[in-house]
Amino acid sequence: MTDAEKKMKRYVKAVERRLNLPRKVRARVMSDFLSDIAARREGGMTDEEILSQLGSPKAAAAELNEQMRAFAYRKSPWRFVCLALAVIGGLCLGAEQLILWHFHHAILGGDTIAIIGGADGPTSIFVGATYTGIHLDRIVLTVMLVGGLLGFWLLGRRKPKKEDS
Amino acid sequence: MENRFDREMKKGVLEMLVLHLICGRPAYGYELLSRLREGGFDLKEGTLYPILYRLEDDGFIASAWSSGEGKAVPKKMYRATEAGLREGLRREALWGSFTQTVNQILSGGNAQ
Repeated sequence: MTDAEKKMKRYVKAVERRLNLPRKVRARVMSDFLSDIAARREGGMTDEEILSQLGSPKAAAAELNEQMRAFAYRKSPWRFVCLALAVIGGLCLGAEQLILWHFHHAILGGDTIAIIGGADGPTSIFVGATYTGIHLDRIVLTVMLVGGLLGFWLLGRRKPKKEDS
Repeated sequence: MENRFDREMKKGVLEMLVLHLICGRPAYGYELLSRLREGGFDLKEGTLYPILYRLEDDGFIASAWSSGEGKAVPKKMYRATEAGLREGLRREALWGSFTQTVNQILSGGNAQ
């Protein structure tokens, strides 16, 4: 592959990356985009001329996104509820970690594993109970964080309605 | 940002012109762009693609990869379907009567 070919390939990839379209629509657009670049080459244009005519990857992708809006993802406002859930879950998880860390370092003196291993009756029960107690809400918080993020992502890319044109 | 009225009007007319050109002979995207440009419509790929996809989804045109001759890279070629040829003629007739009516009103002469 020559340098010019590499440059054009990079350009096409850069445009494709910036297209905010469902996968099938993006493939459709890219097949035409590549065809049109090939046609320009056959028409005798140099890569430099082609690139200057198409504009920067950002500009070309923005133009395609704008014009293809009827085919683009619809974003649901409900996705912000999911994002809020994820943030709450994430913050609580973080806070819990921080408290746990302080707990270990301040109360148990940092050398947790050795102490738990060698803990006598009351201490080991205390540590064990705290651990299993925290375990459950940690699962809930993780589900909130992951589920919220997933929901936010999915609700931001619903397929467009088939519009009658 | 283009004026809303200009955009809406162009959308319909360009779809008719693109179908007309493809009915004339199979063409690929860039060819359509250059022919429209010669005719005075300077548009970008981004404007052409949604028009092509609507026509294709409606079954008026179909795309296929043209086998490149020699070293030529295969290109996506659009040709009119049976339904497309009929629809093209229908739209041209509609345009004819439509412009006649519109021009009549614009030139001040009320209905005959």
